[in-house]
Amino acid sequence: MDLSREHARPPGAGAQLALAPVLVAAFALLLAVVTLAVALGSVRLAPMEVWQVVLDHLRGERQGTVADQITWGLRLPRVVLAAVVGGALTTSGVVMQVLVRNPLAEPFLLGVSSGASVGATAVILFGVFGGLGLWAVSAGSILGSVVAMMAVFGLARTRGGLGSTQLILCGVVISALFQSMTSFLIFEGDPQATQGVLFWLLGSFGRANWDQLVVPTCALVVSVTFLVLQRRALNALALGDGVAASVGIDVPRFRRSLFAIASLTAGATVAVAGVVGFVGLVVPHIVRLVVGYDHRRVLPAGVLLGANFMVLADLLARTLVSPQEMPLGVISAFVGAPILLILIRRQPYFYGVSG
Amino acid sequence: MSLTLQGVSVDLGRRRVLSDIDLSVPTGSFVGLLGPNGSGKSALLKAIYRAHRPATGRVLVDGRDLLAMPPREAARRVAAVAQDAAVEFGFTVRELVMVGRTPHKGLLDADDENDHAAVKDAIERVGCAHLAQRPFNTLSGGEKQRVLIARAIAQGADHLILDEPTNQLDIRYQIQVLEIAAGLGVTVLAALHDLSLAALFCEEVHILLDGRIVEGGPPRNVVTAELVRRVYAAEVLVIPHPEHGTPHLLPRRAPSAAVRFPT
Repeated sequence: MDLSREHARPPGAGAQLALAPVLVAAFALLLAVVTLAVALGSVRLAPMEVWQVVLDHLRGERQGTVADQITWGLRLPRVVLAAVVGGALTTSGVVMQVLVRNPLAEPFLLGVSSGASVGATAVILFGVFGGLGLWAVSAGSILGSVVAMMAVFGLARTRGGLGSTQLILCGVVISALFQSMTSFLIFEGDPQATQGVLFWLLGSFGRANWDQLVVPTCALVVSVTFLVLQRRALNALALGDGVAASVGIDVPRFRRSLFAIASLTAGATVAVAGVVGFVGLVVPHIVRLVVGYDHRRVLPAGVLLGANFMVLADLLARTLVSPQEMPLGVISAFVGAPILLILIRRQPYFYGVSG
Repeated sequence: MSLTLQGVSVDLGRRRVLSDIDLSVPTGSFVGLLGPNGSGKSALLKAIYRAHRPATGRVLVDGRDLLAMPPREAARRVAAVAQDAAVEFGFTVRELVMVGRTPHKGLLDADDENDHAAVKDAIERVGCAHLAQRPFNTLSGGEKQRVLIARAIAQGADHLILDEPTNQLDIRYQIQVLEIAAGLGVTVLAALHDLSLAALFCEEVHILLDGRIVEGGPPRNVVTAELVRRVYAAEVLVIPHPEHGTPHLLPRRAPSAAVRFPT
């Protein structure tokens, strides 16, 4: 057994590229993708026009042209929001996969999306929080996701701690409970209005504006800063709680921090864009296949690749069946699944690699 | 006595799995922890490397309370090879061994020459230099165990805790892994299943049964047929090893009358 393995081509060798070129390339790609996404739409703009508008605004000048209104008023906030949400969901997914030590984990595993769905559905169908106007859906979804997170957290702690298995089980249980509440609300609500709920449940940047960027951007900056500082602890925890404890990490406390960081980051994206599925599951794997597993590399590369992925998915969502929009969840799964399959076929990954 | 346990008890949920353990591991010695499945060996080791918090008692390193130290400082004194090391994540061997440097690094520190040297040295000491760039989850069982030991070596601690390091290894790697641990020159406390192998490598062994230490001392005083019958409820013959004189177990069949089939 040993001999055959040692003479076989080292699987995965050469899979890792140097980090700096990857980051530079991903950032350049992001600039190009953002430009493209702002330029394309029902009214086409030239890339130079787009940049002219951005430069004017950075210099504090407003031209008031059509290109200005379309770029600065409509498309740029939407595209930047998509980039931020893509980075945030990828970061959250990376953390969640370490936290429950399971490659199938995603940002919404621990009840965030199902809790938010209850809140948002209550707002859309029954006008709860009506006094908050445009912010009512965000407020409802944030409140719902926090309640669900607390429920998972509380339930897991009474079951003996935030271990991987307890978290998965409690997350599944609470998610199911909240999903049934959403279903009940839809069942009781106005059939006409359920269209809006469905659209929200599948994710969209259709309501994007500059104000909405604040919460998810803060969440992204805070979580990435924390995680980069804790990169060694993340690596250790990925190897097991015992290994992490033995290298001097306060495991219960670190797990609580990761739980909060991952869920709040995911929750911040839900508040502005609904439940954008699949990104937080698939992009972390794509990132690891490109730069390897060390979180020093995964975290920065994940933010940039997640942003690229999300901007492209949103571009497709609003141009493929224009003037209508497709839900983001449809696009991200449709694009992400083949990419992941191709990468898995090229590299022996955890699938099919004996343990 | 460099590593000392005083009155350590451990609870899992409401169940007490270790009661009032007193144990001393002399500096530089190789000490074995033996006992049947579920006797509390892993729980005892976890209390030392801080995966369990003891309900009572103290763990002392050179007279200082290990659990009262800052976790990173404690980790610079005691390294461990845990049983639950995950394999789902495809770290390369070098990245995985680098995790052992964690207690030496602040939040903003990058890996420096010391870290790279410690990692390289640790990987060479377990004979895995040719595997340094390989993903861990593509290695064989014996290679994996050696790499996990390299991770603990890179930690640079003067105490090494091994939780069943020979589990699921073939005889070649069982011997190799214990030789590596014995050759490190650090104080070793290892939970082991194979009593003959333990007797061959350990200067002292301690026997756990139902969360209590029932026997302790040099293997040739402790490992006897009578002890195996009492602790494991198994019938063995114990003979001296022809080369080393250490106790060696020969399993016995049940008396023929007991298993005779009706004719």
